[in-house]
Amino acid sequence: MKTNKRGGSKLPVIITAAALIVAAGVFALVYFLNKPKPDATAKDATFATATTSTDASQAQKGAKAYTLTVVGKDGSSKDYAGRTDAAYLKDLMDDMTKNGDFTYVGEEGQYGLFVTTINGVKADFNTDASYWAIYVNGEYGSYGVSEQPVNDGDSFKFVYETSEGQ
Amino acid sequence: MSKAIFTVKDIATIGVMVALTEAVKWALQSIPNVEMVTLLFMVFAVTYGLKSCIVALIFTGVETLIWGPHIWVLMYLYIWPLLIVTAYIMGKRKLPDWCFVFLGGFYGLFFGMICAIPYLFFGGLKVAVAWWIAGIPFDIMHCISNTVLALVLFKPLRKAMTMIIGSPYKGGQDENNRYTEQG
Repeated sequence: MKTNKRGGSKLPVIITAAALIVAAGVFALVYFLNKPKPDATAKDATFATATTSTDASQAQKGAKAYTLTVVGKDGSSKDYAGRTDAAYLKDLMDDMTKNGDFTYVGEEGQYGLFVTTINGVKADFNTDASYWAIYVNGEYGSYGVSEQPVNDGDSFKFVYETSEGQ
Repeated sequence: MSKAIFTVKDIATIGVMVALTEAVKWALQSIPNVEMVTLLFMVFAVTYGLKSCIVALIFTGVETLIWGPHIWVLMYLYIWPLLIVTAYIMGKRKLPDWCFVFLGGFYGLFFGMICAIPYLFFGGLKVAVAWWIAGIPFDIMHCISNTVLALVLFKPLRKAMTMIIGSPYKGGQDENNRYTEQG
């Protein structure tokens, strides 16, 4: 580069450029080593067709980053993160289902889809006043999963909660 | 600091800088992780000095008004001032222009990692790391675009801005690094 007025050596430029390329390479390696495999589980294969596995890999390539945490009945939590093109939380959950380690069941109701079961844990408000609470970016969610938009950087949380007053 | 910190000229300059940053951001909005905000803030830092942090904060404020409050607002509050302070110090040490090309490159590459910090508090280490890893392809794109843009534009922009604003380091006759001095 011609910008080297002092010393005249190109060595620092080359070293810095090499460092940048090596750092990018290491990052790429970290990414590929941690990349979720679309058709990893056998359980997935029973439900998924050939097309859904490509859908699942596309779910990682979306324009919006998200994190999602599920806090179960026993307080144990499971974290998910990735990128998605899903417009609404429900679409994101459908995409996540295709990845294999997330399941949910809901009932279509007056206010859109009402989530009753996540990862096999059912919350039944009528028997023990329990429900799956939705938190969006740490705040109590104002919408159902069908109406909750997914924005870049959103963090969602499903928490199994019990209403004390009931 | 007995004098007013911001002169009328400062207020006008900051306004134009925020407008320029915002316009350039909008122009490149549709291309993911190709942006000139990093480049502009580096140029501002070496010509307008640490006061450019105010530009970054107002820019964050304007972005918040447009997009609504979000977790990235927290990121913007430290990521841009950090860049400006780094570039300012590099300029103060009289590092050649190519160093800023790589500052842009490294900043793009580490952008996701630095941005993941709020997730440490919102979801813990696992979420922060997972969020960072998921975004690595975007960070690499960001790195490439920042390097190329800075390689082509840093030098001419710095030259042009120095003609308009001056230098924060050796303002007018004063050799001391009084960045408030504006010849």
